Amino acid sequence: MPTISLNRALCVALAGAAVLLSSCGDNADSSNVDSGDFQKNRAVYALPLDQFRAIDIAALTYAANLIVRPCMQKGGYDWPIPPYHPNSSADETTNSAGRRLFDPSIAQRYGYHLQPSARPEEDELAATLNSRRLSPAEEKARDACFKERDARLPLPSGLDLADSLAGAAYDAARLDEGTLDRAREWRDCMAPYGISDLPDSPIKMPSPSLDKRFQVGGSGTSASSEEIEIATADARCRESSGFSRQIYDVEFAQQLESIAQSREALERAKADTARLNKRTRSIIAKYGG
Amino acid sequence: MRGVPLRRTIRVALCAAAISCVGLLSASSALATSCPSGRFCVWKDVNFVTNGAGVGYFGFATWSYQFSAHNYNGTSDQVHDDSSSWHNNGNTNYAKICTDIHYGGNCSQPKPPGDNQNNMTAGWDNETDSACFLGGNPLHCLGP
Repeated sequence: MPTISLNRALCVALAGAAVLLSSCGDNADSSNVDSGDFQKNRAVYALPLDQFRAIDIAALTYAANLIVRPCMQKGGYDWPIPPYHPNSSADETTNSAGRRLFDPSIAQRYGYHLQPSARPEEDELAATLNSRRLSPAEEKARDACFKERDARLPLPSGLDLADSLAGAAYDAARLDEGTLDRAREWRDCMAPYGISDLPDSPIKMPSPSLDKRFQVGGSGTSASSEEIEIATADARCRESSGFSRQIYDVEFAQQLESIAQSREALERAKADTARLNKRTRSIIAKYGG
Repeated sequence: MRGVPLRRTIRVALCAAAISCVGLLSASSALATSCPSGRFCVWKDVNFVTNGAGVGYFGFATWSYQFSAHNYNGTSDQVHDDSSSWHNNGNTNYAKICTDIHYGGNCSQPKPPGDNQNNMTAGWDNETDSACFLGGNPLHCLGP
């Protein structure tokens, strides 16, 4: 990944300083955060910022569509919406915060693939409805209905903060010297497998050649025995080199530090998110049938 | 990035997000862009343009697991780690963007249909490598 432009960073930082001087100071101390509030669990990739952005996305999507549908119907447009399953949950390859999971046991089961959807037909229907090309008039009506949705189900503005902090923490983790050292050890560990375009870091796996050979991103494909062999070796090398532990530990620590610098704003985001989830459930109860 | 101290990076993120909170850099719903309806689009530069033209977007209908496999429309510029604005112009589904291929690394909060951001913040700007619309399972991509 390219570096962050210093000019840009300075520009943003200066503008930010004018708005929120106190939040941008150097006096923040991560010791203000009780790390006991945030339990490490690498198996499910639990991170401290997760709790500040815990949106029930399946419910939110349905509630938003329940607002947009009658709005579009009022304008004379048929507006079918995807179905909703209240008890759907995170799966084995993606955690509830949306983080991709990968370890030897997952690799042995799915290779580099995502766990297949539990409801592929419904996903296909959703994809069809979502990707419909609209006439200019229909798009204009839809955008007006989105405004109504935003007024009733506004995403907490503090989520932008949580997202930015999470992004910075991940950057810090992947560029950490210890992480880079362990990535080199991972490469040595993977060398016997003869992958022609083995990347410099496991976060870039599968490499383009493996991706092509295994059709990892292809719809409806699943892992071959060869893919499972390579993916499992990859996951084991991430463990034996210490890469998986190092990048997780650094990201976790960075998130704790970022929380210390902006705890108050994040707590507001958390409360706003809880209110959003409550409002979402209320709309579904009222209009969801 | 190596030259930028980590503490400063976090401060930049904090400040950028703070500005976002007051609406100077933030997403604004239903702003007109060149992204066709039913698509999620990214542009190389801020304000929904690539090399000065709004039509130079990269858009997809369901998912894109590896931006490096794509160029911006009408250019030879690869999308990989090189986008600064986005628009979810889908009709019914939220979307997420992720820093690594195959929806790995850090993934964003769900982006509502109709939402857009003209200036991606630190940690995302020029660091995004995959994106997808979200399906029935929470935060699971539609399709693959």
